[in-house]
Amino acid sequence: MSVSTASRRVEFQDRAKLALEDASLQRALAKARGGFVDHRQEAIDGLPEFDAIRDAARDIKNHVLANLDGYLELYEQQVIENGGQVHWARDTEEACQIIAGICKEAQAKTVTKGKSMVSEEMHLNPALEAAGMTVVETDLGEYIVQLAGETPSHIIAPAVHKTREQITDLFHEHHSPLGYTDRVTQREALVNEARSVLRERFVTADVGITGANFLVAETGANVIVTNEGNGDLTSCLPRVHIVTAGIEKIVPSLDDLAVLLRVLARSATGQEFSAYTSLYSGPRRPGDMEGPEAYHVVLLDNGRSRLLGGQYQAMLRCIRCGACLNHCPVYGSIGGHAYGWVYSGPMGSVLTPLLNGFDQSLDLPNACTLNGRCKEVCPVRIPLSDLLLKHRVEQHERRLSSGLGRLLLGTWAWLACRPRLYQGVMALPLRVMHMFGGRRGGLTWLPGASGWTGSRDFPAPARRSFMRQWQSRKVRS
Amino acid sequence: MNRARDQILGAIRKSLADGEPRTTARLEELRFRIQNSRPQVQPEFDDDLLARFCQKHVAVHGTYERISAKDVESAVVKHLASMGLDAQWHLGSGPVLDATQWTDQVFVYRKGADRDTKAALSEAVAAVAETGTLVMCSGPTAPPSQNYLPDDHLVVVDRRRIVRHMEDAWTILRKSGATRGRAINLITGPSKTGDIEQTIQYGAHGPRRLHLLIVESA
Amino acid sequence: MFVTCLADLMRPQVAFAAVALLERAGCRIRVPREQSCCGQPALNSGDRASTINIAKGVIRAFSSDDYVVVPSGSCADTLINKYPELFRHDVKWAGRAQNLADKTFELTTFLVEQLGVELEQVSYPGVCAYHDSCSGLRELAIHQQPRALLQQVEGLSLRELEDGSACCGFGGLFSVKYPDLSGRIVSDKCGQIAQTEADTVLGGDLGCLLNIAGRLRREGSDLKVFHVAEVLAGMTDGPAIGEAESEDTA
Repeated sequence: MSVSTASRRVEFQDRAKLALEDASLQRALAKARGGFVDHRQEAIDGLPEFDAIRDAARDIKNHVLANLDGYLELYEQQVIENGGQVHWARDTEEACQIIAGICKEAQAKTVTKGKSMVSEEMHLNPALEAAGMTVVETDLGEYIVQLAGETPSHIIAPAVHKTREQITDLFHEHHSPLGYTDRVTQREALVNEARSVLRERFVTADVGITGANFLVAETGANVIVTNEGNGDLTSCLPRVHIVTAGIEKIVPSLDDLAVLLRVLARSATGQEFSAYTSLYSGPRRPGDMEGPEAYHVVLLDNGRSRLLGGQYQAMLRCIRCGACLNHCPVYGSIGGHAYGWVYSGPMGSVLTPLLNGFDQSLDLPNACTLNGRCKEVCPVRIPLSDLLLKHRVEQHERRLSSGLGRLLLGTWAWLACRPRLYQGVMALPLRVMHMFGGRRGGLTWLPGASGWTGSRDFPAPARRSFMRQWQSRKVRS
Repeated sequence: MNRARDQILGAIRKSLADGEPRTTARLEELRFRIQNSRPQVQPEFDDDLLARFCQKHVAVHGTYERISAKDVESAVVKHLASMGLDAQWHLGSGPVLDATQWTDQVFVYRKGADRDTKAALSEAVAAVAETGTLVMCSGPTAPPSQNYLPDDHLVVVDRRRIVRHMEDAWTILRKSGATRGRAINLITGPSKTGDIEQTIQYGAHGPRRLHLLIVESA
Repeated sequence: MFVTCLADLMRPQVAFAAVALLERAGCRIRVPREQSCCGQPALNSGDRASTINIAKGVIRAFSSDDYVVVPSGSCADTLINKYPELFRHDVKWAGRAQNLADKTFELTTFLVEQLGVELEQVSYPGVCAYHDSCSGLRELAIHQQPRALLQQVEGLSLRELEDGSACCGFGGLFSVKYPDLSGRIVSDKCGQIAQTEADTVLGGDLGCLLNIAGRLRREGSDLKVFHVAEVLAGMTDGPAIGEAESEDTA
């Protein structure tokens, strides 16, 4: 907490500026943008029941959250009955300790991972590496990002910010020592090379760690949804399977699961259904010829329990589909890294201050046009833009927002409550601005809004306000 | 560890209500809701489940043929030959496969797949017309690695096992006790990735091709 | 009529056009002097106290009118959806806020749905791209209303934008606080506008239009930008938004 709020404020803006100037990033974002939106729309056009299913999905999530303690207990009982173990972590540090402990006990050297945002939240990879293990991300996008020494920039498309040229360079650099000396540039060849390198990792790993899209209380299963099959190879092949999940991931029954699966893939990638949706529960059963000998679930709280019952509870409905990112103009302009933490886009801007502290990310709730498209596309109807506005209210009430901004806004609001005075006071700047900009039609530079005029003109205002003109018209008539 | 559990549950209860633990009666209510769970909103579509299933399966890059039960072996051999592969594969199990008598023209390995497995033949417990999804359940003779490691995954589906919605598959699984197995794998088309330039490429980590043998009822 | 602060200061002609349309349809117009802004800048900055003060003024100013018509989707949304929410727990004001909300309409919605207006002879020879503003589109379902009216304009043809429901990057104070981001988003929007090969951009919200016009001007584009009311009222002879004044009108 040594960094002042002022300098942190600059950080987001600086990162955003860098992102806007990063030509590769802009190329990658431009390529991705339309696809997600169009595919989702097509998928939804093909399902007239979509809105009714969204309502049902929201209701299921609300029901679970209102009874979360009970469902967690029922879920835990089922996991134990299946022969698995449930671990509870109050914060990310505790979660890392638990997982590192399990890996050490299993004398693990290599750990494969299926994509898991909650493990990103924990910063699990560095923790395991510090404990002497080799950690290998197996989702292709996440693997690319790992090779680059970066973090995912999108919750379902971790390497959306990388161009093919960059991926070619990364593979060449990291795979040459493994004997893949040819520099491959085509998409198919790149995928094949990663398949071959990672195949070796899958079959030799000691521990597999996956996330969970859902946890089913009915059967004690964790549900993992992928298109590549990497989550399944991570779940099935190693001796030990560890599942990491936030406590809010529970669904009561398989029928509830069906409802959520119907909205998940459509919202995320525009598919009706992802290629692989798997339910894993416990270790291998007696008589099974394969499967892990041990099955652990690590449930992470990390501030989630605090959100229940409060004005941000709806955020816990999130199923991490990424639709809000894909439809956000700000995300589309700067990508995920500029947001500064694991979660980006609208859901990240709501969640980051809640989990990391309000004073940690003052910009995020403000860097939004409140266009509401995120709220419109959310499969569980989280009112994202309304929640961002609640953040702004909280910032204002806790006096976390900038002093000068508050002063200007306060003065303006004071005036706006006194319309006659307001109309008088506004006449002067109007005249001046009209004088400078009227001829051209706009101002190319405006004191106090030089940012605006950096990229566009400020259209010149009228010489006399409507209210003034209306008064004289009335007098005339 | 138990302290963490109690603290988390306590924090949830404190946020939600008065912080008191759930009574047995409240837990029973939730359990009752689970046990009596019913399908909710479901997509409507035409009655021809076979046609719908095949259409959805093809839409996700799957291939299929319709055969009679006695032709399983020859169909598999022919399909593998068309891929340039020998008549050998890893074999799963299920009512159709278990009833098939394999000739000495083929080699079947009754074990899990490994890193170099070219082909595997499994049987689906059910197939969902809604999405073109195959439902595979793990068991002593049905190792899930066969679903993910081979380049070519062949799956036998009894035509009578094609159901309308996902929830209908759950009903079958609950009845058969398959929900108690370790793995339920829902498979919809071959493996793919969009992680390079958001463009679909097949054969990411799992099977490059998925071929169905839809077996007509005897 | 609730003028909106932007129409008042930046483009009075929008308000005059609205007045003209309503008068032609037989409405008697009152423009209370006790109005300035709907309070969005404060609301969107999280300053509820100031917003409440401004809102009370607006509620009072229009308490005696039958209808309140607003030539802006986003300001109408503030009166219709945000005020009742602000006063939800205020026994004294909740009813008054709801009362205002119930009789408030965005201009094109009012013309189409309340009045069923048929426009008098009006023409605009141009190919127009219509920009749906976000609050209007998503909070008030304004989409078909302006299009229905524009269809009655002689010589006008409409083009739809690709990804038309995307934001233009204005966002009120957002465009001042995060100008780089806002500039980026509006330049994307202008790219999509250019793709339609339209010669005019129309919309129902002055905020978006000022933003778009400012960017087009900077790009050196000669596309004209008008508020939909100006076209419907036939008031398109003068300079478009952000356009230089010709000698005689200055």
